[in-house]
Amino acid sequence: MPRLFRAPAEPPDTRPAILSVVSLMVILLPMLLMTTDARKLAGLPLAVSAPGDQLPPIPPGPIESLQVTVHDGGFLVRASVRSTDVLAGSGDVEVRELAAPDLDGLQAVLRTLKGLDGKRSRITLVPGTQTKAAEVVRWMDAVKLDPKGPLFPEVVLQSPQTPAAATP
Amino acid sequence: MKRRLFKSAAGPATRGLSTGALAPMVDLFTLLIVAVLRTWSAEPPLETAEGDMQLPITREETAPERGVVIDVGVDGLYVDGWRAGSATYWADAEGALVTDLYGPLQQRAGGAAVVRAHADAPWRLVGKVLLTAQQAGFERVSLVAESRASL
Repeated sequence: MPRLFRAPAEPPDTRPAILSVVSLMVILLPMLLMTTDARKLAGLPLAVSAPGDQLPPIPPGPIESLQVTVHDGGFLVRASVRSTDVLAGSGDVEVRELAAPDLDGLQAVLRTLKGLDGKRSRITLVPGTQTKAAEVVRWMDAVKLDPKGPLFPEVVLQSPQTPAAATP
Repeated sequence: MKRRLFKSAAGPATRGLSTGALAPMVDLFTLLIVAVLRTWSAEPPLETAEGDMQLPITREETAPERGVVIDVGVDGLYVDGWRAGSATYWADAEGALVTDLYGPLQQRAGGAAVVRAHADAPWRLVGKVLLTAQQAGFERVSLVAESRASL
């Protein structure tokens, strides 16, 4: 005999599905926490320039050498830029020295130089003898990338005993 | 106000653990899983020769290469966990190379050298160690730092 009125249907019970997800999480989380370390390590590839060493040649560009040194609590960027003056002789190089008070200023200077020579990727850093390893790493981070994009990812660090001559 | 003497029969919503109560827990677990996976790596936990060594902080996230490990601690210099020299002596010593390290490194040369320097180690020491590793014949030299993505 057909029923004229049906009893109101109860909504489906979704608790079993959620409980299975929770159970999975409860198993996964301790496993992950046991096998992982809170510290994630990163490797910073670099090269160290030795006294008298010649670095491998790089593709020619308007900037022939680019070096950053510690200077009065800030930084000094020394760039050898080929002269673009039509009256200049062949091989004329203009050495520009630009000071930066902090890492943000340094990035601004390097961004300007990157605009002059977009293909250049090498930069030489000359830390002071008292510079700490943590500061050198911060410095390396700053010269590799700024908020606008990559700057100079190929970092050469000048060893403490190396005379501060510009490297190509 | 009239007091109800009889409560209606309990419906599905009040029976046991409700869906509404479980949802925040699932959200929390999901966030935790994502945070743990973000920092997870196959590398074993960091063990240094001088106990809890404080590494520099970097924004890089590329895992360090496997190779010969050189520790530059507050007290000493170590190659694969074995003490090779004094940090204080070589920080002030003249010369571009750390000769105490050069011999052990030359025996292992050829691949990658990974330098783990204490965050406060002076560059006059770290630079010498890096240069020594490069001069000993390692093709690739890298400095290890702690990623900002760490928990």
